[in-house]
Amino acid sequence: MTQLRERIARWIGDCSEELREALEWQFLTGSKYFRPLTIFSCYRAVQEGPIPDQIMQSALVIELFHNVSLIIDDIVDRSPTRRGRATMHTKFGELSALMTSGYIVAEGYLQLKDDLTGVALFSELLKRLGVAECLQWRLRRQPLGVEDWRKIAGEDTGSMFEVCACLGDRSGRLRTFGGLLGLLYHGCDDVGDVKGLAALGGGGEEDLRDGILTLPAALAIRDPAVTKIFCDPEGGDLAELGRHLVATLPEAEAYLDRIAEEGRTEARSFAINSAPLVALIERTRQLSRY
Amino acid sequence: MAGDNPGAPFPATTLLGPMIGVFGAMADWAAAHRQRFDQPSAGSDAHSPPGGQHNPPVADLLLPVGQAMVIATNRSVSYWLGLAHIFESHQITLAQVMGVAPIDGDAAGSERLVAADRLRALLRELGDLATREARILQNELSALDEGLAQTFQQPELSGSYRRRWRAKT
Repeated sequence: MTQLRERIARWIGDCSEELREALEWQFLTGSKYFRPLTIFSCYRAVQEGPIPDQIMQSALVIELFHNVSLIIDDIVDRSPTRRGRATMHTKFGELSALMTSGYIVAEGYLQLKDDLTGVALFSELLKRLGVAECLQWRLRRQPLGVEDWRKIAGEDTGSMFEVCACLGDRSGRLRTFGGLLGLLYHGCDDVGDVKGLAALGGGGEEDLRDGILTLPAALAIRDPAVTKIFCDPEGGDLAELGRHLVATLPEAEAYLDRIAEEGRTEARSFAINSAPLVALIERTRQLSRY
Repeated sequence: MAGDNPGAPFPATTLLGPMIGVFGAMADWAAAHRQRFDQPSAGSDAHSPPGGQHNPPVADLLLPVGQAMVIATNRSVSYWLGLAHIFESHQITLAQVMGVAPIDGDAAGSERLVAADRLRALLRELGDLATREARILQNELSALDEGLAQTFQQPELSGSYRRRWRAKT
């Protein structure tokens, strides 16, 4: 990860001076580098030896594209903060944030150079993320089920981690594992947001406000009374909806445990060395347990 | 329908237990037949020429055939066991789905949505199981294929004729 941080810092140093302050703000603090970790773990699951330059470069580019999605998400969600700091559009303005995200995408493809497999995978990622966001937005406040949540989350965070797995193993062998890891990540994030609602009086309000189908919401709206509030939040009590979501947490955690087990099965079936992948599953699973 | 004779079980729900039993029996049958291919020497003896001398090229071909059969049988066992496990874990869901009787009001629609969601989960798991077993089968046969190709690679070949590629693992 130290090498990755150095690559990112060098890349920022080579970028346009006009955008450098915004890029430093976005990239140089607070990231968990979970997606690069997934790439490295998937590489280690099928190969031995040091991480080659092409894989390191893939890790750099996934961080670039991931941050593009964060910048756009924060604008769409009207989030004033991320990781305890002002979001890019809050600090530098929406125009600057939008233009910087386009710049980052162009730079990402430049960094891939002649890695045609990488180019195809990143193109797939951007397309699927765009479709997933539109789908999720179109389906908000609809009385859908857990299987619908699974499909949406699979195209959103699932696609991100599928691509990470493919960038790491370079054969597609671990693609399904990546999808399950992303699904688990998305679900743990959903559950963590609801726990934030319960414990800290914050977090996840945007999802409630916008009627986004999270895992706790998909479980809660099996109750027709909750469905009414979910589908028409202006006519109902959002705080009451929040309480219903909190009540689903044990069932949501059990569902996440089952996804984690699916991921472990996939890792053991298709990885040459499943240990790094199982460790990733465990680390992801902890995200909702705080 | 369940509501017509409250004393009798719904016909479809009585089939679940036997269905799961059939899947388990298929797995047992496949496991029993796997033993035939786990002993390649039994097969090769039948093809030995008189005098007990083995013919290496024939054995080189017969052994992978036996191994392929073991691989296919193993996956078959795994698939049938997986099916049994899935249907067992969804037994309550299936019973509820088959036992849902139409009632008036919003609850009917909500119950049907929940039942449909659970049925979709069952269908997804069945598809995932089949896909996963097929992928494992493909990987194992691919490794066997690679071994066979390496065995029969002619050592005198060189340059561009020499086989350099490897099967994806």
